[in-house]
Amino acid sequence: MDSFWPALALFAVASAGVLGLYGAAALLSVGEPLVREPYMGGSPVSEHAVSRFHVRWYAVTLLFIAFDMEMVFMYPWVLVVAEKGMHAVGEMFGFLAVLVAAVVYAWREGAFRWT
Amino acid sequence: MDMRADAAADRTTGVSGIARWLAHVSAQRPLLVTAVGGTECRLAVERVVRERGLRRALSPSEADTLVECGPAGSGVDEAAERVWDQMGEPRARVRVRSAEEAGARIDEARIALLDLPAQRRAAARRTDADRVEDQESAEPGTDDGAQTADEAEDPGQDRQDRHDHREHRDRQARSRHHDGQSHHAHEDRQGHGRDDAEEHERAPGRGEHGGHGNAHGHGQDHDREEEGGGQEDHEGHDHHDHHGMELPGGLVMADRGDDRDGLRLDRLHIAIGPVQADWPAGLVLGLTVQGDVVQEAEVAVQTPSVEDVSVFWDDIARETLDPGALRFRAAASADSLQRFLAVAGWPDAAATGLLLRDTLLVPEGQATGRTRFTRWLRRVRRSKLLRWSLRGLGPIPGGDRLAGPTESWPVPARLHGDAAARVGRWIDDIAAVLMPDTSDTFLAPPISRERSGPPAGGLSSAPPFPPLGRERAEYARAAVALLPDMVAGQELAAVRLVVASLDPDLESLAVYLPEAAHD
Amino acid sequence: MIDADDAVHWWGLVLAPALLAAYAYAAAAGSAARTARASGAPAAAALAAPAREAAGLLLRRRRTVPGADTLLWRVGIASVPVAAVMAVLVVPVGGRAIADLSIGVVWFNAMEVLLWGGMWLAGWGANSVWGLVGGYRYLIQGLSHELPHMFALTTAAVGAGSLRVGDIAAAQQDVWFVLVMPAAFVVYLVSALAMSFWPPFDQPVGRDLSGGAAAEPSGPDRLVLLAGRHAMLAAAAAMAVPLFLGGGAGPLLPGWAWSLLKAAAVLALLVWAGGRVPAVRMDRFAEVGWVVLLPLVLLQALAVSVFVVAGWM
Repeated sequence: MDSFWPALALFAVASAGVLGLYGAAALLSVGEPLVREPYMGGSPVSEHAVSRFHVRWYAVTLLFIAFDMEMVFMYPWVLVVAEKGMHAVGEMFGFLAVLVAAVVYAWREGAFRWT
Repeated sequence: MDMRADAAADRTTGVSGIARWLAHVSAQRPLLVTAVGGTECRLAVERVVRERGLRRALSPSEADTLVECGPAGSGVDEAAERVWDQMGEPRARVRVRSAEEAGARIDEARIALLDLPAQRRAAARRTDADRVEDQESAEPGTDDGAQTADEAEDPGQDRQDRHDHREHRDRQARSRHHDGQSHHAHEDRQGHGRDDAEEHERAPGRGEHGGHGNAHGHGQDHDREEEGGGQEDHEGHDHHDHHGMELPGGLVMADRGDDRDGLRLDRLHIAIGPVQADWPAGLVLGLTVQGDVVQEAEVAVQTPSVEDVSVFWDDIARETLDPGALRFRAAASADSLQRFLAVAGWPDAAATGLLLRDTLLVPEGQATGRTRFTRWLRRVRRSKLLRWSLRGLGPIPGGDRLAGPTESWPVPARLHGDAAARVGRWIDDIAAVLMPDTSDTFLAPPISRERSGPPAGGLSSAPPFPPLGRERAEYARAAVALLPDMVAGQELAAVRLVVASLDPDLESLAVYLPEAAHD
Repeated sequence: MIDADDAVHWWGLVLAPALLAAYAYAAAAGSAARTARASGAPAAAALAAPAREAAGLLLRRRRTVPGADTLLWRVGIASVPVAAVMAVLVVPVGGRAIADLSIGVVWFNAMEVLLWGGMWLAGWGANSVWGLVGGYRYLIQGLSHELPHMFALTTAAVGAGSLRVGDIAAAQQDVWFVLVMPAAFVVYLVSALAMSFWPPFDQPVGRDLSGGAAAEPSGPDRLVLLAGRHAMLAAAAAMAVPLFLGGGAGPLLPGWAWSLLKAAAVLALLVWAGGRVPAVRMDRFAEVGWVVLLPLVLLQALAVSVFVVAGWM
């Protein structure tokens, strides 16, 4: 069973590094943070940018989720494929073929061209 | 302010010594503002920046020097002022009025940047001014007369300009909203002592443009929209659920609109330019975007203030009446091409293009570095990835006619085709100078260039080509007319590429076809 | 010279981030030198350019926007270098990693996925349209390259029959995986460029968006974001060595020297290749990623699985 304490320790090191950078900048910088409108080429900003962004490629995300679920099976499959033999290979790639068929369908339906 | 000064004095000499060393080793990041009529200055500044190994900044957050190229007083100045305000210390601002003083001005800016105590004081002053505004907005009606001593010390032009630009900014922002958006709280602050209640714009249900005519007292200004006085906004005319909620910065949330998929989703009103890297000088493109796809576009052209603006490319070409004028055409094309390559995300090729442009502008330049540039040209010409990115982008069919106020005129042949074709014509211009023996063209069908064929070796009193500026003015007029339709429905990357492939020269437009510049 | 599987090398906690920082600087310097050569300036002076920029950024005032989601913004920005550093937990140098987890490959993948959230937050939190669009561009970029990336990782893992990075490096004693599964290697390199939004996949921080997700942050925020970006590229380059290039194997030099050399070579290749082509537009690349790269790497995985089962590996 792996111990993840080194991971936690590394996270602490990394965070300390980032905080150290911020600390150094706080000491050295010439002033406090500047609060200004975002850059818009010199034109005035008229709305807050945080808004509901129309993500036109949401169909791609659905495809991705399908494959991601498959990856959950593929990682353990890697460990046992050598001993299970062609049987395991056939099953996994049969599953993948079904998913690839879905990708081809989505491609033909134009899910990858959204402009 | 006093606290700040004390804190600064309390800093150990170690820290300030380190800060001074850091300032000394840091590289300048200039942000270029090109006014209409400032092409010569822009070219000089870009050359100086390249020679010193500096990198141009893309936005005020990474810039430390604002370099304004060209004559003052054009419409771009207000945008420059806003961008200047958005830059954080250490910062410096210079105006380059002629090509010769480019290097000197940038050096001046560097000296100003190294003066850290002054930068700290300026930063403290701005912070205090912001804080005072916050307090003032939180207590409406109090006459705080909050001109701190530092504010009074401030160079008068700062206050004056902030004042003016708030007017312009507010008016522009209001005109952008068609209706129902009146609760954007661009309330205008009056001078001291006036009741806040009078100051607010009452514009129920409509964007009221004239209503703020009374709103410009002198005195207390703030450099930004952070009124925070959101409570005054909700005078019952908002039909969104902002009741009682103070929106920071006085801005509103995005409103919804239909899009082509039949959804009603949020729209943002943004603008590209005029202070934008790799962007035609003086062009402002106002976009309504949903997500990152443009729904509506409108083009505004900033005009120069001075009447005697002359077209840079014309001047150069007139000075040399010999066949060498071909290289100025190539230089102009190289200028457009390097900007296009920068927008296309190919910084190395853009850098070489910049070098080529500078080389071509030097009288004997076209002989130097020929192999490098030839290699570069071949790589750009043959780049499959570039062609793939540009295929089908921004098509202008041949045979279009554009309607002006009094006449209609055909779209210039040089603009026909898609973005790849237009870029190909620039490449051909450059190839005509670098590799005059080759005759292959890049994608586009060869355009009959009987006017620009290899000129006879004899001397002629008139240049064999029409003034370059006149042609560029016609291209610019067509581009400005076509741009809104070409851009609608495209996503932002495509918009930038389309504009870069057209690269309208608004300086020429202002000189040769001034009636088209005022649209 | 592989230590016991459970050994944890605590001194690596300092050494690994230091090495990563050095490689990240090298990537930035190499990129600056490459551009300087292209513009005709001497490349040697440009090697100091990232340090100069960092110096300037330490002095600069931070910026924020009214209405910005400050907490999420800063978390997003900070997550970029933190994810890069965490990813090298399992990368061995000369056979020794900080902690050679039995699921090292999955750990690396997971740390890269942290960037998705981080970059989107970095774009969203700034309350600027450029950041917003940049953050979403990073997401579609991720969606397009992530599956080929994951399959490339799995192919290397299948070749060794283990998810432990040390085992994968050890399984290449006869022949390096880059020769057995070249398509997976190429796909891995492409995804390394994409995951660290390095040119030509730098549309999330692209010039056409005035810097995209990097348009608003200034001062130390900007320094952290850009340093994290270079660190992520360095981490991906470092991971390519045990996965495809045989780890620390090589004549004459000790294992750690070979590891470092190979990582440097991969990094140099990535930095050089990035400057040769224009930026890839996501709405065009998504199709390529799904319809070309994915079947390619799937076929590669099938081939390798068959080899493994048939006992040829």
